[in-house]
Amino acid sequence: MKEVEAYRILLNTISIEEDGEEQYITPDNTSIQVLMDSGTTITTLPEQWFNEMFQYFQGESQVIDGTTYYLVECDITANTTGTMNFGFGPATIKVPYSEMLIHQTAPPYVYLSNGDLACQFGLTPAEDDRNFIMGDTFLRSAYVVYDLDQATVAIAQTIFNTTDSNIVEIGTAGVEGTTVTAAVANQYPAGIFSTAAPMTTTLTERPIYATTTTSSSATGSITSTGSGSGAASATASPKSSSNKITSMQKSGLFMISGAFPMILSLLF
Amino acid sequence: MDVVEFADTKTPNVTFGVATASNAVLNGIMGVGFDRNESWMSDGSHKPYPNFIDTLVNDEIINSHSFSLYLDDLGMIYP
Repeated sequence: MKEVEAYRILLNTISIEEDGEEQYITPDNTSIQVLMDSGTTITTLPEQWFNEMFQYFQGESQVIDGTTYYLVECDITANTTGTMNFGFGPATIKVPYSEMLIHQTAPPYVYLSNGDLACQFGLTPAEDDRNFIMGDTFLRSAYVVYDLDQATVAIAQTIFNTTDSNIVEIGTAGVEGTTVTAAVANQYPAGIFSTAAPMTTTLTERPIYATTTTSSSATGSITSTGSGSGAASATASPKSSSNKITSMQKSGLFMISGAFPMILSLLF
Repeated sequence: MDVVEFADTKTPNVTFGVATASNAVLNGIMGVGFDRNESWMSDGSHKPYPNFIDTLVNDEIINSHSFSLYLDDLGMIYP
């Protein structure tokens, strides 16, 4: 059997929620494979789903030096506490609108057609039908445990700016709580595909995920960090980016958000 | 072979690449993915080298190949 080679899991639902009302972008019974990649800044989704959300936020695209940038108003959150919700089997992560924006921090600044300073939208359309990526704009809102030995990804809602600490060991059976089994490459169809079991909005029924074999099993346990900041890159093949850097983030450009307490020292 | 200090742990004998030129990437990159996806594996002529997570496990600094990721929020900086 092919082995797991990347942090690729199934995404089933995307919805927009405002004031307790939820609208689904995704049709019933559909899934896509997504890569949980902290090395990618902007989240990459199927073009038709991207278009629906981009139009909902009244975004406009601009081509700058041959690259298309997807721009929205920076005050998206002014009148609402809306969230973009992503469902992965039993786990749903709610991303506040404010996290789905990238603010410009240096010139040259880009402006919307109405003259307002632009923010970059936290989503971008995929260039093909296989490489969908949950980047930093999504991952900020999730606390993710990558377990290579179990080939699972555990996901929970982020508590931002927490100062509490609750360190829980990851046991030999893997992470307690909600886990999603990582998909083997090409295990599922490309693009948006139908799932056999119907899904309900009460999140009680989900398709059965195929289990995968892993190459080794762990003994002992690990202490996982419960809080504080720090980031490691979950690597995947970085998306190619063009030569010139502008102040806007190109998708695939690696960015660490949050303090990174690491000192690299070289000894010969 | 390099010594990597992470939090309060010193890990010797880490294999780390050095980039001498780049046209796009502005930061260093620490790969913590699966070995079989290491970039030099793509030509089919290499065996995987132990990455940082492997080294932590091999040196018995941690007990399993797992880690958590907490990016926290934007902490937006307005120009």
